[in-house]
Amino acid sequence: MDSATFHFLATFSYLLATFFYVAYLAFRTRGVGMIATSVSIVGVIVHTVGKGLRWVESYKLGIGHAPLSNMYESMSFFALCVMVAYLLVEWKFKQKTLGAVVAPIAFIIMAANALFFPDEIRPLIPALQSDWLLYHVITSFVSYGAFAVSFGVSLLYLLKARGENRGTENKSLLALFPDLKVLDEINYKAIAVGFPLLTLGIITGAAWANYAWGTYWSWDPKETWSLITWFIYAAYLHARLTRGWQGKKTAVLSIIGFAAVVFTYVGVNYLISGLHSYA
Amino acid sequence: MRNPASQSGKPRREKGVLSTVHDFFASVGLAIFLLITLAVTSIFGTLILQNARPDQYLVKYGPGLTRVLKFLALDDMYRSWWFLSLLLLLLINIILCSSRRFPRTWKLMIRSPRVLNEQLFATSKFKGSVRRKIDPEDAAGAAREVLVRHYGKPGETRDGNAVTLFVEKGRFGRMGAYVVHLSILLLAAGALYGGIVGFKGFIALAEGQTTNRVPLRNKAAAIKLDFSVRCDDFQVQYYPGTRQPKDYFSDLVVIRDGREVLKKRIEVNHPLIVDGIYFYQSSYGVDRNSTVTLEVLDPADKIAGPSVTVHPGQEFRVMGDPSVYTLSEIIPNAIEEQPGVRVAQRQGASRLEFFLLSAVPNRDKMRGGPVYFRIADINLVEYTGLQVAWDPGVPIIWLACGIMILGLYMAFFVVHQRVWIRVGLDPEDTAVLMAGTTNRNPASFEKEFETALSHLKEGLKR
Repeated sequence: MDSATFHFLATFSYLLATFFYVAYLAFRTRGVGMIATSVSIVGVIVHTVGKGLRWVESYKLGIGHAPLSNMYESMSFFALCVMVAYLLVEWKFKQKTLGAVVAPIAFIIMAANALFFPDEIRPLIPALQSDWLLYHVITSFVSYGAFAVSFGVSLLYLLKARGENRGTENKSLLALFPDLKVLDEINYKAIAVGFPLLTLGIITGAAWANYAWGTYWSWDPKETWSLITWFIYAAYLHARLTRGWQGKKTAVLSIIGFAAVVFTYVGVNYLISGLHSYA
Repeated sequence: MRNPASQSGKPRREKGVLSTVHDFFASVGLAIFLLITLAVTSIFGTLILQNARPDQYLVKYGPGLTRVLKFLALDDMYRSWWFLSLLLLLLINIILCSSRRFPRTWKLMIRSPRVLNEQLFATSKFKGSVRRKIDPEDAAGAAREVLVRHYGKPGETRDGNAVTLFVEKGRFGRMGAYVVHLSILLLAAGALYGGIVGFKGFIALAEGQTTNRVPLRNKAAAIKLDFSVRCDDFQVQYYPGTRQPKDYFSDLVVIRDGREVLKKRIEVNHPLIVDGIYFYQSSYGVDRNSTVTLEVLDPADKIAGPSVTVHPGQEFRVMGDPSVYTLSEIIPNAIEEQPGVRVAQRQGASRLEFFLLSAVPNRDKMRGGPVYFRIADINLVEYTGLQVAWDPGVPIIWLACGIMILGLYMAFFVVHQRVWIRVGLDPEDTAVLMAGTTNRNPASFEKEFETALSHLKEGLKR
């Protein structure tokens, strides 16, 4: 089997996981929850194998490089990071219900990727031929995965808080999700992990730029937007840790932060031209 | 944050202007405001053309808007007075805010109370107590065992009729935020130092050419190096069957006092470094000293006149043809990995562009003129585009980055946990109190604390 088959199977697993997580939300049966988690884990393993195979295939084509070099490859890695970050949260906080929100995000990323981006393995342009590619992309995308989780719980937080205000919360679907306090806590934890990783991603990017472009910082749009993202999450951390902001306000900041992440990743490539135009 | 003077129980005084100003610049509120403002304003520079030529602004934005952009320095905003002022304000804020909060944090870090008194027990968030008829020595032994098992080796302090066992870990985590702030100041210092002392330039060096002069970027000046660089050869390799470059390299030679001291092949991601000065492979092109020799043929493939030899950009005419031709461009890898040229033709008001290809010699016949051209020879001289940079601030930058990562690790992953167990020394009614505090992650601390407490209770039963 080739890497494309594995990517397809992973996509399918995330769809199946979505189905079981929603079923778990509805029925709260332990067995269904176990199946949902197992399917997710299988999806992550299959996905990882697919990534590894693609790496091997690129070597067979004589243009060997880590599968992290363009939109298709990085989107696929993004989905993988989102699922891994989610599974860690599930394990750490013993909260399976969030899977019904996060697994579909991973599925949509994978499906959109297959629809919109060509999956052929392309040779690397000279600027990308460096070991820094691996360190830079991995740190950046693991942080994106953590931020995606914080975004998901922030969204749930706002929906749930609105429901509670109206007094309709008990009857609706939202009652099935964790308490506001838990959502707020997960939001913080995800950012507390994502922020140092984003910092590492920016630093490895700067180190590479210094080696490839001759300057560690040139206010290229991609660099600038990653810094904008960094500023927003830094503001979040200061607000929460020293000013005691909690709940709605921090949830909103966290959503703005993730909007900046998405723009840094996708928006900059398509709306602004710059040096960093591969992915 | 309140002014410490107003907390100390002295009569309240009106705050002076100076201390109000200081409070403002040292507040976390200002930090949050500045971070958000920097985030929002930074967006402009990614949407508006930066450091482009004046005519590009006129074409894109029109004269009115261009004036506004220039006035607000939005055409070079990351070096504008107002953006640099915001950054400076952030640095001042970091210094004042950190130095105001530091003494208290330092005290929390190094001066943990060794004795669990009533007040400390009352104010601790996590606590529990047991009363048993048990020998105090045995009780202390059980308490020690529990602490060693869960937290580490405790210290012991006696006060009057009780002994307190105390253990703490991760106290340096409290310094995390300060370490990060320090690294940001260091980062700024490194950037400033490199910006003032260092330089950035660009040289286009043709094959065979030698130079020691580096024209600076964004400035009409040049730097003279105390050594010269010669380019012996430049090559591009393409991915087979495509025009996508796989790699390009330059063979550079460093010449000092007339002697060749260093040879190196550089490519993208692999620069040449001489005396801390970096030479990066950044671009390439065809030098204007290249020449193309064209045969002039009539439609019956007979030589119609003498061959012409021209440089890129040069105009030429041929006998029996009223047109004026210009050699626009030499394309080293046009098709089938063979070169081609682009030629512009002008005759009266009509303009035309066409290509000549070494791989398809008779292609130009299709143009249908009185004569056509065929490439006889191309003497290709390529130039290599070298980015030249000397930035003595870079080591400081990397040091700052390392410190920042260390600080972030301390701030988020090193948790200052403290646990006390006090054992009363009355054998008839031994009171055992246990209390704990943590500066982060109370949920997981609570879990561990509750387990330790239940182990303590079990231990005291024996």
